[in-house]
Formats: sequence, structure tokens, C-alpha cells
Amino acid sequence: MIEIERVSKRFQETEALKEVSLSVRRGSIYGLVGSNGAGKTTLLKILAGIYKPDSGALTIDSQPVFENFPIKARTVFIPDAPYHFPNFTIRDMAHFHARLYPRWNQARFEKLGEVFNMETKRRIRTLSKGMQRQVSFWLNLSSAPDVLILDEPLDGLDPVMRKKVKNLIIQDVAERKMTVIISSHNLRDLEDICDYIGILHQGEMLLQRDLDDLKSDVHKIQIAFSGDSPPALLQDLQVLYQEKRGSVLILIARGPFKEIISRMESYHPAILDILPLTLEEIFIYEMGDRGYEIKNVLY
Amino acid sequence: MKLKTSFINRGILLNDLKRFSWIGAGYLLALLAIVPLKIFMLYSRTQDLRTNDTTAYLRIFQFDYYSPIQILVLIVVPVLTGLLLFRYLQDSRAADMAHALPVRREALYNTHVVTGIIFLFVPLILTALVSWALVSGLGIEDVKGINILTWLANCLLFNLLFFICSVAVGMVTGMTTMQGVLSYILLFLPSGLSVLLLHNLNQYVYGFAYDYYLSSKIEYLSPLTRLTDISRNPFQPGEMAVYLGISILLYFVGRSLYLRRHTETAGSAITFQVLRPVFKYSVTFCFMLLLGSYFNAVQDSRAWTYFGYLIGSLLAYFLIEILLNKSLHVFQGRQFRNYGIYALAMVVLLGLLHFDWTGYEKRLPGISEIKSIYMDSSFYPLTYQPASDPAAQAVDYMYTPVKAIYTDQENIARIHALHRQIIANGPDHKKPSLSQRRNTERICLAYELAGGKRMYRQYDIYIPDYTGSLKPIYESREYKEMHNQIFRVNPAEVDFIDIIGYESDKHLRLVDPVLIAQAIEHLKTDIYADTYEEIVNINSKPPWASINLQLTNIQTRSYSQEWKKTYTNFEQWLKDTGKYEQVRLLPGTDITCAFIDRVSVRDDKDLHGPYAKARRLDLTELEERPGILKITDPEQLEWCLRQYYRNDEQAAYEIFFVRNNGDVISGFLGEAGAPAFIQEHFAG
Repeated sequence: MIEIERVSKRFQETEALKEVSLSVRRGSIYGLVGSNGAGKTTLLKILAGIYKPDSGALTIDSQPVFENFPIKARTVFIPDAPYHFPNFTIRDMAHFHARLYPRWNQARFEKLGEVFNMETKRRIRTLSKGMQRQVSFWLNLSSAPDVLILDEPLDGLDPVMRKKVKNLIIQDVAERKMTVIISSHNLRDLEDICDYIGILHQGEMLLQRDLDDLKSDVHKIQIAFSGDSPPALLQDLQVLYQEKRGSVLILIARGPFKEIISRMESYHPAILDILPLTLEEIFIYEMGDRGYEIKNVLY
Repeated sequence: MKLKTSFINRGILLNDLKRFSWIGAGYLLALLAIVPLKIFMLYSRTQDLRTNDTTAYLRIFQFDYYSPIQILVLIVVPVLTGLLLFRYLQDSRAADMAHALPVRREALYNTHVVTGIIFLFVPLILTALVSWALVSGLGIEDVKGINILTWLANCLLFNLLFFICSVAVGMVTGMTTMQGVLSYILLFLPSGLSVLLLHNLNQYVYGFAYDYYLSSKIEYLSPLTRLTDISRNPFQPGEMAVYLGISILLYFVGRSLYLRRHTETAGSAITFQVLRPVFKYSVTFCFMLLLGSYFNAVQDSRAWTYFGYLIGSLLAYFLIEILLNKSLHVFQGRQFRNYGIYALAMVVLLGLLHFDWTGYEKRLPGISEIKSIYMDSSFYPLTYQPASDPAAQAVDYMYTPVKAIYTDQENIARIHALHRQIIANGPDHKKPSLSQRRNTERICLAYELAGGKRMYRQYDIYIPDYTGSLKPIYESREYKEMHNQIFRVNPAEVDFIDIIGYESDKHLRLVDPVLIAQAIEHLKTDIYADTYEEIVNINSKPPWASINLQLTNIQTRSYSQEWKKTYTNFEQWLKDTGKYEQVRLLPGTDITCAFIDRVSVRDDKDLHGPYAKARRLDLTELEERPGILKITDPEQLEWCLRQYYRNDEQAAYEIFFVRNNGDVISGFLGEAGAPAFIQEHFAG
């Protein structure tokens, strides 16, 4: 659905993106993670057809986006600080969207009104930041996009609204096979909705993972033996991290779950615990494995 | 997807109309107040006010200093419209939003341009319609349909150009303020830069015909200045075509720049990398010329001019660097090096100018190829053009000046010789003294050469150095005929002649056509006999009287001529007709006595002058002044009256004439030629 191949972009002196590639399957949600200045916004704006890349190819449905009316008609972009015309009410802005997006769905707009629960005759600029952002969701989801590009969208939304918006997105993904690319500087925001995660650091794509694979692939193990641990224990095992606390050995290892368990059990440990890993932890160890300190990349 | 390839986008158009229709509405209101309301206001005044001035209505449709608000509105609104409609480009959030929409950039550009034109054109057309309805409804016959149509056409054309210019400039910059400033600079640049270049060339090129180029329609180059002159000299079809052509060109330039412009450049001073050095060095150059000209004009010295260049270029260079980099950290090696290269280039350029590598300064046409030479103290008569619009002409009270074009072979040879002498003498770089400046005059030359070529030069010459060359020219009949209006007066057209005595209450009016004709004839004879010294009148010898010839034709014009004390022919004629005593000051009857003294303290003369001194003088104080000479003898008084002058520069004596009413007339007398009664008195 979305293919980005070796896209680079410079802003005068600074190189914002260096040969970034990624691909997003139709109907999936791709989370783009990175600290401030990592290049997330630039990448999303290129994807939305706002910026023109200096080099590289970028397609949605195998078509270039820049200046491509049919593609842009079914792609929407919600920036971190949405712009609304001065003095425009929600209804005015809806009219504007209705005129410009051929797939505008008035019935859906009205139905979504129940979720967002705001009067359409209110001037958008008089609303709070969080509410303005809700208006953006409301308007953009009403034009039934195939591709939804979200730049740090959940900042400033209260937890209830955050949940509602997430549900709306997931619903569209499930029902209409909408494709979503969403950025955040916070992994925890994306954990529960993304299928894929890509980490952008200083304009470069550090790593991309399918979350299902990732979660079933990396494990945190606490293991203790009554005597010394067997020397062959860690042989042929891909260990991302290990730490010894007293007699307890804590391991972060990669590999098929069953294989690791049976292997561990074969050494008859006194204690063997497999603990769940948060997405954040996974990345901490994954990136540590590649020589990056996660706090340099994400915080 | 029906809008895919449209020229404009309907959604954007409707949105623009909704968001910005206040521009059009405001513009309409302003225009209605400026034109139809003014017509009605004029109509509502008293009847006689209207009949007195048939052009009053027409003047409402003029673009000159009678309608400053109209001009202001016409200049401000189109540029402002351009700024507002393209404001989104200069704000990154708005630009992102606009360019994320499913609308092609070309359609965005076209739509905003179309909206702007609607907002500007519709109010103008409506105003013209309302004015037309008002004029025909009230039965105002002074204003014809063509006047309103001309007004409309001019407004539309200028609005279009100003608007499109502001739009095109907006593509080059990412800041709304810069867009506004640069738009006006661009609109003014053709004239402004020309003036700056001319002014600076004038400093370095000896004989450069600065005044000629300055007056030769330089204001036509810039639309802003052209607008203020358009009522005097209406648009020619060629000019209209040029304005339309430039507007269309600017539209395409703007469109092409929009397509190439990166959205992320919103907020930066110059949006195209390649234009940054162009912008930087152009501004530096212009500012250098501007400050150089300023210091030159105020201080009148070469050193100050160079100082102006340095300060102007340095200031502009680093201000632009700060603006472009949005940082104060521009005082670094690289910037100083680049400025150094620029400064070096300017030094080389100045050197080339000093070197006169085109031979401009030494060029003198061969006498055989000269068809005629214009010579005067300014180029104004040569370049003067009367207003071609009748309504403007009516308020234009200026006389048509006479072009002093010499065709007499002898005079051509004399002027040629003078020019040769001026070139040979070369420029005088020393700062002239006060008396030198007083005796310096501007000589403007315009050669018409065989083959239709023309050559223009201008010099400021110190007259005493050129007396020998100037004398025969000034004394020629050709010179006198060109410089005295009286030679062009048809005596039959003269209604009356007023002869008004100088510094006296005496005056005389001639109404008899026979006398008028005779008076004119005698004056002509006297003028032909005028010598160079009398024409130049270096000592400011006052005349007996001034003579005003009032013409009968509808333009109610009058010509003025002096009755100089050397005009003996005219004097004799006055005596013969018995009018002599009615006009001139006579010793005995008008002047009771006079006091003569050596010129006293000379140091405060510039501060107060003879007039001030005379007023302060008390007659009794004068009488009691030790060593003063009092004369009452009519013959002695007559001699003094004929000889006294105003310029105290070479004066030896002060003279105070006492009029019969007690007033004092003061003046000076020279040492040379002083008669015995004065010399004897002051000898001891």
C-alpha cells in the first residue's frame, strides 16, 4: 500500500531524512517512533504530499503522491498542530472539507458528531487545543480516507478521548481496511494499536519490526540453579541482555518460545520464570543489542 | 475526480470568496466614497461654485495630487489583496494544510489569483457603473462616458499589475511583511534605481547630462510614479500593452515559482536558494548608492560620498545576512571575505568610471555635423511637455517655456568653442568658495547632429572664467529673441501694459493699442542693444520699473519685462509721450536727499543685508553719523539713482536714498567711476 524507498530530504544545512525506506501493508497500522527532530514529521509530510523529497521514491498504491489528486483525495494528514481558518465554525470547516474531498460522507460526519459531542456552530479557534485536535479527527475521518497519516495525534487528548479516537481508527482499519501511519515520541502510546513499529533516529530508520513477531520472539527469563549455572546454558542462544542478581540470572533472549523453554528446563533450574515484556523493554534491549542507548534515541 | 485537470478549484474558490469577501466589500465602499459620493457632494454645493469650474467633476476622475486618497487606495488595496490571499504560503501550518488538500498547486495558485482579480475588478466596475448612473441621472454634462471608461481602464490595469506583482513577489519570499515591502520596492525600483545610478554617475562623469536623463520620463519607468502622472499624460496604447504584457508575464513567473517553491520555506526571507545571493548583493548595491547619494547631496564632498558607500553597503550587507540567516551570528570570516570581494568589485567599478574608458568626457562633435545646439541653464524647457489631458491642462498654470535652440552658424561655432573650453578646463574638484558658488551657473547642452543623433552634456561653470566665450552668445540677436518673451508677443493681442515703478508707488497703464505697439517696439530695440554685463547684471542693479503685458486671449496670461536703466530708447519714448515722470523715481520730487558713507563693518552683512540695515537706520542717526555725505543736488541724486546697485560684493560706498514719504532705499556704489563729489568728500 505505502512504499517508501530510500527517501532523503535536506533543509538547507540539515539533513532531515537519510535514505529512509519503509513499507506499510493495506489495512495495517504503522507506528513511527523517534525523539524530537528524528525526522518523523518530515517523513509524514512527504507522505502527505506536502514536501517533495530530494531523492528516493514514494508511492501509495504504486502511485506517486506529490501533486497526485486522486491519491491525495483519499489520503488525509492530521498534523501535530492542526490549522483551521480563522473565524471558521466546525460547520464551515466541514463544508470546506466536503467541497474538497470527493469521498466526504455527510452521514458519517453527523454520526461522528455523537462521539465528539461538540456543537457545530462553535468557532474552532475558540476551542481548546485538545478539542481542536478532536475536530481534526472528526473532519478527516468523515472524508473516509484510505490512508490516514497522523503526526503525534494523541498528545493533548484526555484518556477517555484517546481511547475513543483509537477505537475509531481501529474500527476503520477493521471495517474499511484503512491504512494508518502514526508517529509518536512515546512507544507506550502505540503499543496497543500498532502492527508495525519503525524507529527513526537522526533521519535514519534504525529498525522496523512486526509487533506480533517481536512479542513472540523476545523473552525475559529469570532462572536460578541450586549450584552454579551450567556453562553450556547460553550456548546457541541469542541473548540480548543478561544480568545476575544474587543467584538469579535475568536473561533477555530471542528465539521461539517453546524451544527456549524446553532448553532451559533441560538444565533443571531451581527457578524458571518467563515474564511478559513491554514494547518499550523490547526496544531497549533490541537497540542495546545494536549499540544504541535507547535513552539517546527515544527520550 | 472531475476537478482533476481544472484551471481553478471550485471548493477553494468558494472558500476564498467566503473568507476574503470583506476585501472586496471594503474596497467597494472606499471607492464609492471616493468617486460617486464626491460627485454628489460637488453637485450639492451652490450653483455658482459649479459653473465657475467646469473641470471640477472631471478632476474626481484624475489620479493626481487632488485625489491623494484615491491614489493611496489604488496602490494599497491590490498589494494588500495579494498579501492576504497568499498569506497561507507564509505560515507553515496553513501552508501544510493547504498542500495536503487534494488540490494541485497550479489550481491553488490560479484560484487565488482569480479570486484576487474578482475582489479588485468587481468593485471598480460597480463604482464606474454607479458613477455613470449618477452623472447621467443628475445631468452632469462635464463628465462624459469616455471619462469614466478611461478612469475604469486605468484602475483595472494598475490594479492588475500591482496585484500580480505582489503575488509573484510572494513566491520569492516566505514572509508577508517582506512580500509587502518587496512588492513596493519592485514597483518603484525601475525609477528609483535609475535615479540612484544617474545621481552617482553624475559624481564621476564630467559633463554627464544628469538633469536631462532625470527629466526624460524616468518616472514613467515605475508604475507607482506613472500612476500619479497618468492624468497629465494619458496612457498610450503601447504602454497599456506593456502593462498588460508585464502582468501576464508576472502571472506565469509567479505560477512557475509556486510550482517550484518548497512548502517548508514558509517563514524564510527568500524562498529560493539561488536568489539569496542575488537578493543580498542587489540590496547591498542599492543601499550603497542610496547612502552615497544622500551624503553627497547633504555634504557635497567626495569623501563623504565614499563614506556613504561604505556605511550603506556594510549596513545592508550584514542586515540582509541577519535576515537571511535569522541569526545575529553573521559577523564571521566567510561573510567578511564575501563582503571584501564585493567591495573590491565596487572599487574596480569606480576606478573604471574615473578612467573615462568610453571617452564620454572628452567627446565633442565636429562642427560640421552640428545641426543645432540647445543651450540653457536647465533642460527643463527642452524636456517640458504640456499636459495632454484638457482637464489637467486647466489646472496647469505653467507657461510653455521656450526651447533655446541655436541654429545660427555663428552661435553654433561660439557654443562649440565654449564647450571645447569647458572640456579643456576639466572638472574643478576644489570646494568652491561662497562667491564662486554665487557666480557658478549650470550650462546644459543638447546637440542635434547630422543623422539624427543627439548628444547631451551639462556643466556647472564658474562664469568669470568664461566671460569671453559667453559674451558674444548673450549679445547675439538669437539669444535675446529666445530669452525675452516680448519678442513673441503680438501687440494686437495685448490688452494693456502696466508699468510699475520700482520701489515707488508710481505706476502707469497703457491701453491705447498704438502706444502699446510703440512701447513694445522700443523695448525690443533696447533689448537688442543690451550688453552681456547688463544681461547678467552681476551687481543686481535695480530697474526703473517692471512692465507687465496683459494678453487678451482666454488664457489670461501676462508677460513681464524690466525697464532697465540702460533702456534709453524706451526712456526717450516715455519722455516724448509725456509719461516719463509718471513712472520713474525722480530726484527732488520723489527723492529728497541721499546719504553716502563708506561701506561699514562688513562682517555682519551676510546676516542682515542692506534691507535690514536700512530699516533699522534712523534718519537722524544717519545725519549725525560722522563723515557722512549728504547730497540734495538733483543732478548728483540722478547720477546715484542710475548707478546704485544691490550686490555689496565689490561695493565701496553705501547709499541711502530718502523718499519724500520718509522711506529709505538703500544700495551700494562702486569705487571705480565714482564722481568727483564722492571721491573728494571721502578723500580726506
